[in-house]
Amino acid sequence: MNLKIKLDDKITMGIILVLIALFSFIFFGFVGFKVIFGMLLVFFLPFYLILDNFNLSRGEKIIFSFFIGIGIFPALVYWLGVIISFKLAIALSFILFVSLGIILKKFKK
Amino acid sequence: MKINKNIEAIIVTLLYLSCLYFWTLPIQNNSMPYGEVDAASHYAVADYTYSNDRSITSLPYYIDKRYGQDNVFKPHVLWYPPPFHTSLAIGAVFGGDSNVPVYLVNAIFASLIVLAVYFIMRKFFGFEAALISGFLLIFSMRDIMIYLWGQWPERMGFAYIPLILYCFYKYCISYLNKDEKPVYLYIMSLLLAVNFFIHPMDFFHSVMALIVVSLLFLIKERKLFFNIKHISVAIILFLLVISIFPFQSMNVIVRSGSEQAVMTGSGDVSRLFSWFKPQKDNPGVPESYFSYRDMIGPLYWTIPLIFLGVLFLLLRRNKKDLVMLGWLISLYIMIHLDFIGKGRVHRSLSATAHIFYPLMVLGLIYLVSFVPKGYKRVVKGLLMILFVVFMFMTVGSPVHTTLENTYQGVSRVNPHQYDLIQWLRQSDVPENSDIYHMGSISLAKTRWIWMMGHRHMISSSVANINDYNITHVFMDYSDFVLIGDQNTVNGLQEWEKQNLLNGTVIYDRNYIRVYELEN
Repeated sequence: MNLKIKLDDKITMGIILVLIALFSFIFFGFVGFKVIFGMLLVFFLPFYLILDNFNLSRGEKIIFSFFIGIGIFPALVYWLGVIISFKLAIALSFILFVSLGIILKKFKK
Repeated sequence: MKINKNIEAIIVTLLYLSCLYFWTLPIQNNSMPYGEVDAASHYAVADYTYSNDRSITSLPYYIDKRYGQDNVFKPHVLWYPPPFHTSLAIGAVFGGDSNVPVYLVNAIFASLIVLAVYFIMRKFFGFEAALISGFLLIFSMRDIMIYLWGQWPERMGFAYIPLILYCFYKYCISYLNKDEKPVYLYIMSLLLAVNFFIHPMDFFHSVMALIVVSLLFLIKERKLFFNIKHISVAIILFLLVISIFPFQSMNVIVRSGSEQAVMTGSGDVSRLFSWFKPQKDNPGVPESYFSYRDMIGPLYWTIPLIFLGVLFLLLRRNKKDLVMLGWLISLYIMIHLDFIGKGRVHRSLSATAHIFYPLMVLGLIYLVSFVPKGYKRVVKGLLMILFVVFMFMTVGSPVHTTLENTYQGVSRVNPHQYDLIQWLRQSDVPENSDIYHMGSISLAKTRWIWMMGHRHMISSSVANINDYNITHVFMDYSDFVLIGDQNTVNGLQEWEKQNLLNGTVIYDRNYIRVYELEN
């Protein structure tokens, strides 16, 4: 059996994000939406940018970035949160990890 | 079955969202926290971090009173490495509240095993095997029970094992093919470090799985399959990462060196021939938790499928098969550590479905391989649909009922108690108060009010008022009024009259009074 429905990558990503957004809103309202997309933003995105610099398949990058992100991102947040506001620590950690991903990309070029 | 990657991504999203739908049923209609005492502890660390907008360095008084000695290396600090609870607190920041956001983040974390098993099965055995394995794990009753009770990090930590094994496999394959890809080893190292942060027991499961898979690879290859330089870098990376939290990492090391489990089956050879025997040191765990039929599936046709799956792996014995066998053997070892008087084996038992469901699916696929070529596609499709339908009917339905009906009524903080909690957090009641909870319906209930109210409480269900130097008494009629237990209400009123004449009422609302005592 060969399912040959062609879907553009961007359309697929759009469909997935809409599905997640609908799920969050229907079952948990705006709070759920903020939590789920917040998690995707801070746990997933920075580490995807970092792992994007290595020779891994897209599936591997997606899975590994989330599983590593949920352990490493809060580790930095924790220590920054000892010195500064916890909310600020989240923002600063996000900026630092995203910057690392971008710098690695530039360095690799 | 070949499938377009984009379609697959949408199917996986739908699979995981279905999982989240089921696993979040307990908070969809009631936003109050729930669970046993462990759940309250995890909630407390996240909630305190969120509400104080600061990471916890020294434990606040009310948390310290219960968990102050849990870090044996350095008392009065966090006993678990902080990432898990910090993640929950990050969720609370995004959601603007501790209750639903913490539970939503935890549901995502606890159910990550579905994604992890999908991933490894997809990479090793294809889309159908992955989809069915992932689907079945949504309804793994033992995982769900532990998730509901509150051993949250332990649930999450198991999801790392398949990924760690996958990375190890990828590295070894690349080495043996003379196309070394050390990046997999470094990612494995990071995953192991995160696994260590999340839950030490699960980390030891991962290490055991790596040891067994390495031995199987060594037997097959009869030569080394790794570069010492790469392994050394991976070990240094791991040590560097875990040294970020020295007090908690040392706590794991000191504890694992000193813990002596109380075992019943130690040295009992018959134990080696049974998957599990309930022990004396797991009181409070219901009998159904140890039942294969209640936790995994119907006995008579799922066990033969598991054996078929193992047979399929044993006969083929390629490296992917060895990884799966190694994972199974390592779980067997972890579940049988009581034989040598070690381990927390009833907790290890909860990882059974993670490998049994994939083995069932492999057994089914192996069975189909005997069907003549012309009929194979039809028979395979039909068998898989039948298998999924039967499994859903037998394990899916009870799981749905359990998740929908869990912690109803007074087993959660009731609205009157929640009002008190809100008041207590803002009140002048000193943070180092010791409050006696008279009218506690259970230890877990007191623990919830204690952790949510940010004040230490002693439950009347486990201690006498004279056993402690009490500063306040929290007279709680609310649960007994709600369940209509007038006898207990009368008894409580009598006790209040006799014992609290000299106290000053500082809170008096809806079946609850708080007295300040003159010491």
